[in-house]
Amino acid sequence: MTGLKGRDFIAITDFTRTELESIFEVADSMRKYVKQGLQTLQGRILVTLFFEPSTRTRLSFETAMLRLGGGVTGFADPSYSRVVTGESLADTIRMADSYGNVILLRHKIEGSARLAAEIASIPVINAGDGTQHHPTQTLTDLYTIRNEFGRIDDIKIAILGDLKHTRSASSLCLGLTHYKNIQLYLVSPSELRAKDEVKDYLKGKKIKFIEIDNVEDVIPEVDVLYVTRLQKERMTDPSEYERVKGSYFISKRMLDRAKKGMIVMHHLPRIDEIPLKIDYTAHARYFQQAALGLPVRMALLSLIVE
Amino acid sequence: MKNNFFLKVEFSRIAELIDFLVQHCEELRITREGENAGIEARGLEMDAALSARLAILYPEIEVNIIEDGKRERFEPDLPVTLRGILNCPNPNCVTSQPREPALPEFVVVSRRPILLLCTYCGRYLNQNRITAELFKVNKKVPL
Ligand SMILES: [Zn+2]
Repeated sequence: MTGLKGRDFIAITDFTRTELESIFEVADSMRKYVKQGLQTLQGRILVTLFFEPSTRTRLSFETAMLRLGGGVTGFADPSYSRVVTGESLADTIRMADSYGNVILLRHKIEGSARLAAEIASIPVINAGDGTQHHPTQTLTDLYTIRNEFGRIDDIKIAILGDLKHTRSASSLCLGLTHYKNIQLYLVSPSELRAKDEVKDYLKGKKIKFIEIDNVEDVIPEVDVLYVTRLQKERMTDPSEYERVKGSYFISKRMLDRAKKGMIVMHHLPRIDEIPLKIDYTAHARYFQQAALGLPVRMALLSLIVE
Repeated sequence: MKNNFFLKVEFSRIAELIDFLVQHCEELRITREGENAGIEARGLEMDAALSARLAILYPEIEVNIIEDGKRERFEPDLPVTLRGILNCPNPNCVTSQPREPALPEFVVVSRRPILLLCTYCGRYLNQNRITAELFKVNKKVPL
C-alpha cells in the first residue's frame, strides 16, 4: 500500500484497479476523521495552483490537507494567475516544488499537469486540465458508486449532457475501464458526443457502450444516472439547444420509471439540469457525492505525500 | 551517417519532398518513371526525423539505399513514440506554448492509415491534419 508514495496523479488511468481500491479502503477509514481530523501529515504543505477557478475541488483538497494536520499555500484567484502569466508554468512549478510537499494544479492548457509532473520532484495532482482529465473527481465518483452498491463491477450507468467538453464525463468513462461488465450509455446531442480518443480507449478496454440521444429510453435500466451540464454556447445552433434541452434536464416525472435503487449523480455545481424537487427524492446522491470527496482526498493525500 | 538513396513516389507529390530533401543532401537528381518520379539523393542523412517524416507523409513511398551501385529496399522506420519530430496542431496543448519546456511527443496508434496520439493533450492527429508544416519543430531546451 506504500506503493503510492511520491506518485503523481494526472489521469485516472495512471493507477491500477488495485491501487484505486487501496485508496477507497483508506477513504473508508478516513470517514470518521472528516470532522475531528488527524495529524498524519503534520508539517507537510499542499501548494494549490489554480489558473482556472474551481471552488469545490480546491476547498475539498484544502480541507482534506488541514484535516490531516498539514498546511496549505498557493493561489485560487484567476486574477492572480493573470499576474503570473508573465511567468511560464514551468517556472511556477519549480517555485512550488521548492516550497511544498505536494502540488495541486488546475490549468486550461491541455497537458499542463503532465508537464508539471515531469518538472516537479514532489507529487503533482491534476485538479483538471483540458477536457479529458479530472482524476480526483472520478475517484470521488467511483467511490460514491462503490459506497452505494458495494461494488463498481456490473453497473449500468448513463452519462448525460455535453460529453465532448465535460472533463468529469470523459474522465469517468476512462475510470470505468478499470471495472468488469460495465454497461455504459453515453447520452448527448449528436454534436456533443464523447471524443473519439475516449471512445477508442473504451473499445480497447472492451467496455460496452451505446450512444443515444434520449435519456428516457434508458432510465428504467440504469443503476446510475450521471448528469452533466449542457451549455447553450457549446452548441453551434441555439435553436437546436432549445429543441433538445428538455431531454437533458432531468424531471421528477422521468424518474418515476427508474429502478428503486437508482442514484442520480452530478459533479456540481448544477444550474437547471437537476430541479430542486429531485433533491428530496430517494434517488438524489449528488450532495453525498460531494461530501465523499473529502475522505477520498484525505486518503489520496495520505497515500501519496511523503 | 550519409548514404546514397533512391526514392520512388507519385509524380504529383514530389514538389514538397524535393524542397525538403534538397536541404538535407549533397546532390539530387530527378527522373520521370511513368506516373512516378525517381529521386536519387546523394549524401543524404537518414536520421530518425527524416525517416518518420517519410513514413508519415508518404506512406506509399519506395525507398532504396544504394550500396556498391545496387539498390536495396529500405523501410523508413517509424518508432512507437515520436519525440520532438512533429508539432501538435492543438493550440491549447502545452507543447504548443513557446515558453514551456515540453517537447511534442506522440504515440503511433496506427501506421496505415496513420493515427498519432499526443502524449500531453491526449488528442488524435490523423492523416488529414498532418502537413509538412507540422514537422518544423522548433526544438526547445530539453528537460
Ligand atoms: Zn498535444
